[in-house]
Amino acid sequence: MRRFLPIAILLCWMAAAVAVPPTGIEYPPLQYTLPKPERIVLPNGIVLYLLEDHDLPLVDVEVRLRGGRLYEPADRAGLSAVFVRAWRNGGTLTRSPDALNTAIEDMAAILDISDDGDTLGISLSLLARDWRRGLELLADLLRNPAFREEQVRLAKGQVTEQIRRRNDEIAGIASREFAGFVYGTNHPLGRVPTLQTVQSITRQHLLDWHRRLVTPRNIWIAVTGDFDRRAVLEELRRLFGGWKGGSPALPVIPAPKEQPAATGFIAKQADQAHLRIGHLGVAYGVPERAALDVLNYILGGSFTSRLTHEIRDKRGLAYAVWSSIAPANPRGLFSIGCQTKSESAEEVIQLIREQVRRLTEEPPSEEELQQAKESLVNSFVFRFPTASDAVSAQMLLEIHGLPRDTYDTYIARVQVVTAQDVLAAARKYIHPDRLRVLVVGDGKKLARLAGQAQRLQAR
Amino acid sequence: MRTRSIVLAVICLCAIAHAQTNFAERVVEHRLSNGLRVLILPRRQSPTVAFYILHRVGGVDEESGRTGVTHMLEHMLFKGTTTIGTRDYEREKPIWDEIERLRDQLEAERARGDAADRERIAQLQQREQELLQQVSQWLIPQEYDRIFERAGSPGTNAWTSNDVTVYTVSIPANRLELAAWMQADQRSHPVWRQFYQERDVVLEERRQSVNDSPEGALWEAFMATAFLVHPYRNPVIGWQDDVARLRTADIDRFFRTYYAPNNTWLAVVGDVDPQQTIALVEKYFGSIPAQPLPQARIPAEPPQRGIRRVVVKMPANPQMLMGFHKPNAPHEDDVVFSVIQGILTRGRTSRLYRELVEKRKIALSVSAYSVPGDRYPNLFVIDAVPRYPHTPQELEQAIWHELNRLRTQSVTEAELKRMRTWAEADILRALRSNEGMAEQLLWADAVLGDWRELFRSVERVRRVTAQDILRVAKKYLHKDNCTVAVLEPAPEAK
Repeated sequence: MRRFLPIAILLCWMAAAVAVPPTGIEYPPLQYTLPKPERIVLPNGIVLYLLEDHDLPLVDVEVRLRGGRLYEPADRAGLSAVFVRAWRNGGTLTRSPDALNTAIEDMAAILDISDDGDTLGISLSLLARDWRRGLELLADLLRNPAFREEQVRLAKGQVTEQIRRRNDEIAGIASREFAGFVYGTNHPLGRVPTLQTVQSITRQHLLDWHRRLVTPRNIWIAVTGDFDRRAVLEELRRLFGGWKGGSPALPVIPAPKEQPAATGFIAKQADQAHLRIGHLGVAYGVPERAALDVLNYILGGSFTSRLTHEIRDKRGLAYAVWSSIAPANPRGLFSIGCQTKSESAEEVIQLIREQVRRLTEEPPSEEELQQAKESLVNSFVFRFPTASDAVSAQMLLEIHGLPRDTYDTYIARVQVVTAQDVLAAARKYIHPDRLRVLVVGDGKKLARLAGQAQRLQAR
Repeated sequence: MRTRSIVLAVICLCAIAHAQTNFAERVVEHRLSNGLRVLILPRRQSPTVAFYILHRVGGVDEESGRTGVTHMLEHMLFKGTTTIGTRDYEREKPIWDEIERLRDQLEAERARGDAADRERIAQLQQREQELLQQVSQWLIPQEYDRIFERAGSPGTNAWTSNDVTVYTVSIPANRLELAAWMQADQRSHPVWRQFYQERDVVLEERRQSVNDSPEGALWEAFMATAFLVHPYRNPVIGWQDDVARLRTADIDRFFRTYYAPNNTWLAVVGDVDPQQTIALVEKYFGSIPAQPLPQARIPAEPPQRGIRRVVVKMPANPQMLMGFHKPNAPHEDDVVFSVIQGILTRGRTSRLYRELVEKRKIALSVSAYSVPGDRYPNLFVIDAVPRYPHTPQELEQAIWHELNRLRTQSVTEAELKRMRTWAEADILRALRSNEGMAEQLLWADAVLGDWRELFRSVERVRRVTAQDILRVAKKYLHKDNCTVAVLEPAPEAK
């Protein structure tokens, strides 16, 4: 594999010179329309997104709720991780875990519950012929989960094992501890579960958590695929229409505090140093989002970025170098990541610092700007690989309180970005004087760096 | 009511069969006179195209001492051509030639190890830096990627396996011709510029994915133990010292030998017109000359005679792998293994999940798969992660218990039926993306010999009986045919 693809980069693919496509090729105009689901609100507050798509005899269902580890209490960190496992595996009031799993897998269906930070998602992939049975099982698990004691114990045990293993891979340490280093280890986005907090979780906590979150006013359901709209809508009304419930009770998440520039060091036996550099980033829905996408493309969000050019191509110092300005609730991270052999760590940190500073000192060149904008605009057709991805993304806009036409206007918003807009966004959101640098690597080989840094421990 | 549901079921089964046939019938195949094989699957879901190229060359084709050359070549193909990435190739070329001569001396000096003349090395490096500085005025950095990204490609990539090398381009449908021209140019006039920087990049890739990765390190030791002779034993990225000694002449020779059009497959899946696509491929790839392919001289792996064990110690929690030699597809036993894999580890109703993860709670996870390729007999692997305080040894015992059951008692009809349903669903889910489909068509045609194998998988699975599973389990899933690799925790070096 030639290219390292960090999962952190969601949006962003960048930078500068004359392209020489062969002469004489003409490109016909591209017709693309974002798949548009129908939106229906049930009287109890459940929001439905429906889109028929008859390409293949498959149906995808996604239920989404506000919730997730962001909202769990500090003394029970890990609650949400245990919750989604015990929910998925714990069966329902009338179906044992085994009966539920057999019913699902006999249809070759895939049912998962995931904690996505500030939301929870239940996804169900079905063969089209099974949609009715699938929806019924999903509704049962959603409304009547049993959280059987045996499965709660299993979930706690598995999350505990993951905690024991979380320092095995150096990349895992770097990502997790960088969040702690920027957000603070007490902020929900920076703290981590411990053996003790997970141990303290009981079945009752999970039942209470379910009662707090899973209420019609906190539920969005997307159905995409090969079905008849009328029949599915009728069935959804039957399954969910009579469900009553109040508003979800989610705590308000405090804004993380800005921190001054610092360098932290965590010792881990390794050939490479793992570097993370950055500071607090942006919330969802900042007006400069398109300019930030352009900026990130130029910095390190693409394979033609400044960072890739300076660190990988010109000097061969790394396989992986990237940047991200992804939004999060309540604040995202501005982060740059790189892995390089220990001997090159200081040089790479210096190169990264220079590139960050450059962003705030001068606008990008016209060539870089055009490269980034054309790339973002022309690649928009790939943003949602399937119809169900497009539906889920539009549903998520509503959950995050963003304008529902965000994707419809995206291309136009990128097209108007100027070099001065990019510079202004950089000056507003990128702070070379506040960079927090985390180095994870070999204490001996990196002795000089470690000596000047704050010593931290991997939690 | 009863009748109605039966009729419905029949209709639904037809829908799946129909979808498969529908796709299978839409595949257009074509062979250029230079031997290049083209597979086209038009689908109008979105105005996008996956334009994938496979060369039937992988780690298995490397000679000893030059492991990693296939993967290195894959990296180098992105460094541009005589027209892409350069302002003036004629001015650039003599400088690269001089760097190459300098490297002859530099690498020879370094090869002397402790006896090397450090001052001389420093001088040569200094001179190389000057030359790199000089050549940079003629370069247009990352131009290959710039063109593709600007055209809307969400990032071009490639991967190398033990069997094949695959280049993956996705592009808006209106840029199909650009993709054809770029990929043909990439194969007609490549330039090995910045080779030694890229070699360092690959060495970093190796540090990251093997040296510092418990999983990667265990994998390397496992494969090298399970295979004593066959080159499936070698890591695709190459052994460290082999990679560190690769030269441009190595990749050049490899490129000329194996990237011949008669060793190349092309899949175009998406919003395209097949006849137009064939015309474009003819136009840009048609002039690349065919050439004789070398006779593969790959030694067969001798039968294993007794269990093999390997231990890797790293500062990490334990993991384990168990591997069994088995025939590769399309051998009839291979599909039986795909059913065994499902029965053992697929989903929450599978035997090993139920037993190890849920009931006895000794494993965090367990999975199974066939690796590392399909061109030669391969391995059936069971991959398990123990839960503290349980050990890999306890896991191994529990797994043997389940394998013994498989050898002595018939699996149930319910299990077989579930596997048949999974097989139907798998092919439909694979059809969801242009990219997934392109990859599968290439793999089936280049490795299994016919892209239609893809659509035959459902039928093959349907034919597997409980008797087949007993027979195959008895034949292969026993101790004398097994390799066990265990990652044992070691303290952090201080």
